[in-house]
Amino acid sequence: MRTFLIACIIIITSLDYINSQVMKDSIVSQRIYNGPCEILMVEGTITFDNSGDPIPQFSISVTSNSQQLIKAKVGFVNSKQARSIEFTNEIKQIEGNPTFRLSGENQNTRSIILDLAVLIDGKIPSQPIANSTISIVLPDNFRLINCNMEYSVSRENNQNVISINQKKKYLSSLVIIYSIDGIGLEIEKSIEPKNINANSQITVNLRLTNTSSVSLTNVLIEDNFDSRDFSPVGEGFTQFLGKENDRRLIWTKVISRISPGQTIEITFAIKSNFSVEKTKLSAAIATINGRLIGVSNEIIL
Amino acid sequence: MRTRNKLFIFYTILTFLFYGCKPFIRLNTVHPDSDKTVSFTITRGTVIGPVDEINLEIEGETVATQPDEPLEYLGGPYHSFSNRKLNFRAMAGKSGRNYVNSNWVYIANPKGQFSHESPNGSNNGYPDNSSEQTGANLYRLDKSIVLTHANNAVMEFSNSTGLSIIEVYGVADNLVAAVAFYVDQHMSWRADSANRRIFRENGYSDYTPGWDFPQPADLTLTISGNLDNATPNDDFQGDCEDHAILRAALLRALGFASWGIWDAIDQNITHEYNIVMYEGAYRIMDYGLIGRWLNSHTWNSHKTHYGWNEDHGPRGVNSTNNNFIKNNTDNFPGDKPCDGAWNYNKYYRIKCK
Repeated sequence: MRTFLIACIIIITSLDYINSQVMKDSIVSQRIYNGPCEILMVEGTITFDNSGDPIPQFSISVTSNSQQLIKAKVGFVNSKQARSIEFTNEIKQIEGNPTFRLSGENQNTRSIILDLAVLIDGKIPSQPIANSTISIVLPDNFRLINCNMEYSVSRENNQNVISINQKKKYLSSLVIIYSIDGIGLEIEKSIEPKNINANSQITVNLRLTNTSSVSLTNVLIEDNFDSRDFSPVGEGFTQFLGKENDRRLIWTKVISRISPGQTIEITFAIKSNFSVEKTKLSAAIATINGRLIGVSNEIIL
Repeated sequence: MRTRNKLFIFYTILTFLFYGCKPFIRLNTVHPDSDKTVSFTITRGTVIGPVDEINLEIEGETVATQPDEPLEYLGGPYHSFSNRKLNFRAMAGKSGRNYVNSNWVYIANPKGQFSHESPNGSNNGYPDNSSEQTGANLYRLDKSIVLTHANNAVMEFSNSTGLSIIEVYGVADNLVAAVAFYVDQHMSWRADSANRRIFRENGYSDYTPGWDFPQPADLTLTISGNLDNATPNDDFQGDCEDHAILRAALLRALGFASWGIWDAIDQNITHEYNIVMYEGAYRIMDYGLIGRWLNSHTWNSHKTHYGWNEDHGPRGVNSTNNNFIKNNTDNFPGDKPCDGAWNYNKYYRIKCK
């Protein structure tokens, strides 16, 4: 009897395990590439022509751990330049660019959005990209306004080079905002204290540095907070009440002048209505006559 | 005999008459989902004195037997019982007689539902009036950009948590967490007055969806962050309903079932957010990570009253929308009760855990 019961348990458990694997595998096989190919490296450089339009040049290195002949289609998501390759236990490099979209082409502040996700046979690889190295080379008269990935800046040949280096990470969509006329305001946003408990006063600090070679005048600085979470302390705030829904606490200040290279600090305070965590405080922005010239970091709580 | 003792005996007898002699079954959750194991603990309960044997049956098959209490058993995940009842029964044997207690739980599985309704809005599939503000017309699952960013959500969540892509894609709760994370990371608030202008100046002057200017998910992803006559502070912009629509659309693009993701509006019509199947129960998903709103009620804006989704619409604030949310998201799925009539408090762990 006991043997029979044990046998029953084993059979039931096995059937359920197999069933669960089949279900999981069906979802996985639809969306995830689980074959022998792996993305070893994504390398890319974005330069700009005289009119300020970006020129991306990318390559993808693929490897296979199989001794058999492997066929796979590799490329950036939505790209018509995805390549079919055949190889055996070797590294193959594929030239091909991601799709990208521009906005603000008729203005001096512009953005480029690149879809950098790499797919194998139209699916997400089960392993992340071993190494990704992307350089954005901004001509001397360009300024970086914002970049949505972690980056570092270096100076090479009178050009600012924005470098994005990642190990064992997937790439997704890269958004870069830049100016083509040398106007830019760097904004570093911080709060004190770092953790927001209920009913406490929070000091928001904005450190502004004029990266332009000219003075910036009448710079409008804007920040906003959820008015369910925060109440205003002091001046500079307006309560936004939407027609049907949503509430927002908007803070603004006009800076009359910032000289080239000058750094100034602005502080203001808000009061928390609740403990605020597991969310972010949005970025502050700087504009002149409706033109975006600076975007701060976000604060992750 | 003292009155107090008499009362004790009376209530003891009453308890036995009401409940009978039966073992007790305790689960670590009353709302397991198909990706999770379930821990069963069986004790002799109201069976008086030592028992000879305790066993646990799941779906008619004995899975654990032992001579004494407590019996601990870790079962599942029960994928093969997805979206149906899992029956179980505890037995306590004593002096040749078996005392039995039966129960069930519902195994929720909102994954793997990739089919969707086709948009039918009068404006190229987009809504052209309030009555066309449906899930199909606002989620726009027919547009590849929605899937591109849904996959981005999974990949960025994998980068952030160290979970493999298979672990994220294969577990419903991870899909929800990934989408909440992605929208929080990449989208910030902007007033509808500005959103209307941005749409108008980016080739969508004919986009007139009716009440409250909801942004279709594909257009939030393509034009809301544009710099043409705009000053975005994030990759995507919109107000509360635009965040909620994007979250729902991304989850649906990842194969999350339409019945498991809702857009909800509070009674005073101050806010729109999501009600989502998470950890086997309906919970709130809003600005921030999924863990932000699970435990107890804080915002008055979360006094949920109206709702709509891909199966029940259009979007709106009338008694029909109240009935949609009340009748379809009364925790928990599968008619497993959580005490009391539906109200907005049921979405919190403190009320229904």
